[in-house]
Amino acid sequence: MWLLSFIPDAWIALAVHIIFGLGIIGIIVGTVLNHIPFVNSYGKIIRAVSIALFVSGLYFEGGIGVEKEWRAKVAELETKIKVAETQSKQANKKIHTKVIEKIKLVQVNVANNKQAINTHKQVIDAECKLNAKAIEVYNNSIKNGAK
Amino acid sequence: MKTLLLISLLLTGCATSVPVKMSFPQAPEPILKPSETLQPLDPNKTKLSDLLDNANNNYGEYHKLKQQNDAWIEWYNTQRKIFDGIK
Repeated sequence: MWLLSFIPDAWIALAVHIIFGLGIIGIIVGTVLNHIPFVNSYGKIIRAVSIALFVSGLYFEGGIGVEKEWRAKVAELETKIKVAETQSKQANKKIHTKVIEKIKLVQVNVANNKQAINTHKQVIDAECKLNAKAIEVYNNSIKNGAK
Repeated sequence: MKTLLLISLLLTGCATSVPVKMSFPQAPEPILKPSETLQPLDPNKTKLSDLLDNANNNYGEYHKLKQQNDAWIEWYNTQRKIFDGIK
């Protein structure tokens, strides 16, 4: 049925109805001609062709129903996806703003702490000096082995 | 050959593909930034204020990363909720 997805709905419906209609008319005409002498050989040909038309018409009548159903489902899904994509963008914008604000706050706090350290530097450094071992242990905890 | 062509065409009636695609949602740019490495203390800096300064910077990096991680969790939960709403 994927072949039908390239053709507009109205064209498909019309073509299928014509094929199906021609099949029925052809079968009737063929049957009538079959009983008339001299033309009954044409009747057989017309009937055979009409049966083929009728069968394919019937198949496509069924197919067109399924195709319409699928197209409706596709349209419904496309609408849902558009709504979801809009919601997704809105949610992203909200998260974007929130993260930026929180990171700014973190940076402000870091700067404030830095300023406090500088302000009270003399008091902080008055009673303590770090030795090499302390720095080594401290740096090991920073490196932590995991990359 | 003609019969084969006819059979192939009729059999395509069984193959139905749904031409609907949904693109993978893009994550907000701030949470895609890679994390910074923690900075070790310079062994020549032996004052306690140097240590505090270094710790302050590193804690700041941790807090930034925490915000990014929390945002990832929120992003995932929100997108999943939206995705589940489509079905």
